[in-house]
Amino acid sequence: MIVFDRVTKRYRHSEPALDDVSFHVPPGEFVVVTGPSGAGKTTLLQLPYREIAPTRGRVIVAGLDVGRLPFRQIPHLRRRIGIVFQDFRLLPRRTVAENVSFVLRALAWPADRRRERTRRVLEWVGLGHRAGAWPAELSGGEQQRVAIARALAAEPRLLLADEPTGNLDAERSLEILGLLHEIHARGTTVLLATHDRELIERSGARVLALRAGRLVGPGVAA
Amino acid sequence: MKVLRFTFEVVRAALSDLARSPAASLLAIVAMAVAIFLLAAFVLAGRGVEALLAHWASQASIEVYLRDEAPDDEIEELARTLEADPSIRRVERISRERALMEFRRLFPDLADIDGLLGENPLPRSLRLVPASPDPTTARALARQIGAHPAVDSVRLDREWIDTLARLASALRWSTAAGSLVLLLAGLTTIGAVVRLALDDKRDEVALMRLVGAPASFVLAPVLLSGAILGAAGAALAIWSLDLVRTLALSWLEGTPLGGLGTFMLGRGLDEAASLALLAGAAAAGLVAAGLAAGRAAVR
Repeated sequence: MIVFDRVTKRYRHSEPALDDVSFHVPPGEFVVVTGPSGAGKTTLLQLPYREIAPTRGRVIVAGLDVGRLPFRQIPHLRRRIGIVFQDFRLLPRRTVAENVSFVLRALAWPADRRRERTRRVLEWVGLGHRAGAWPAELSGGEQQRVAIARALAAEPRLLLADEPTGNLDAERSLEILGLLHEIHARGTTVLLATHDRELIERSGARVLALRAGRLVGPGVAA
Repeated sequence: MKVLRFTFEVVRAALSDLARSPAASLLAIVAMAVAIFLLAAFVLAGRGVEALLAHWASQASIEVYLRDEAPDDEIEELARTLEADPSIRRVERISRERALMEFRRLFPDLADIDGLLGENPLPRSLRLVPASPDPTTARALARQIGAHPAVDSVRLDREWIDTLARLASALRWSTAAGSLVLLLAGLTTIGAVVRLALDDKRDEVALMRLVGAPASFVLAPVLLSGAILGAAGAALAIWSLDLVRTLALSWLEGTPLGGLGTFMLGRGLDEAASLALLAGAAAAGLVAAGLAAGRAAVR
């Protein structure tokens, strides 16, 4: 699903954020990317959906060389990927259901399929009863579940989650991890970036550890 | 089907963008309407002035003053030659008595001029109306007639029309330039409104890009918003222009200026001109929106 082949990313006049990183994530795997702040986790997660391009090396996602993808092809790539952020990035002036269906509207899904998919995905994350609520009326954990529902709405094959529990307490974090496990169990490839030790240990996933932009050794959490 | 859905979503997004800041949208529409109203009004007024000047020019005459000592048969022969000339529409013979009568009518204060001078000082003349209102033809005709031995002098009665035409032309150009400046201001307002709307939904645009919405889905509502503002401004201008024209005509009716008013304002914008104005304003609004949004709407 994802191949990083000797990838280096350097921002202007600075040390490389990623330095000669190589790894392979087969379809359907759950992988955790960890490391201290500034280790390059966010940079690593931004490369597969071409938010940024690698300075050197190749990033392959679903057979596409992301770094060399023409600008007009980027939307096609992104339709295969769901993305979840630490700060949820919900639209404050839209209800929970509208936040989810917004994605499908932007992808020109027909109204009836849009409604059905929104209902189903919200029920799946346990928020079917809050469809008409505003984001500000939800707890942090609920907001993150809406963000996950939104990321899953268009049925992506890959989910990138960048510190999705960063703003949540331990209990809510484990709920989110449970949700990610369910998503993985349904066949979606999941790449989770986190520095939460307990989450890493409970994930049971292969771990890619980063330090100062370098991969310091993949492993599997106990 | 997908194209229809896409179109529907684009229209919905554009209207929703405009509704998000109704005051700014209204301001842009009014700014465009004022500019287009003035532009169209000047075009119409210019057309009216041209028609009026052409009408006056067709009535302008050449006064041919004859020598006192010229024999009657020579003058009559000249008059007949001029009557046979196809470039002359009408020839009037003005006797000294008739010239005096016309003078008294025009200048009642000097009605006793023949009494003061002891005799009628006015010469015989021929009054010619050229077939063509073209000033060059009229001047050539005047020169040609002036060379005849029976002719004392020739007065071309159209200098004032030419002066008026020059004045109208200068006025037309300066008002057109002023209207274009206003139009530019209107388009800038549209650009500002569109840009504001785009900034206002920055998070939505970012999300659209993140989920892989096509660039056209982001850009099309922006362009459509500009086109809607431009067309709405033009529609308001056309409606206002028709209203003002109708009011002015009814106000002038029955007054001494009624005829002039009908001449100047009688012809409003026809359907083709109105449609062209709407289409032009929509296209200009679209371009202004595209320029204002720039790369922000694409990347």
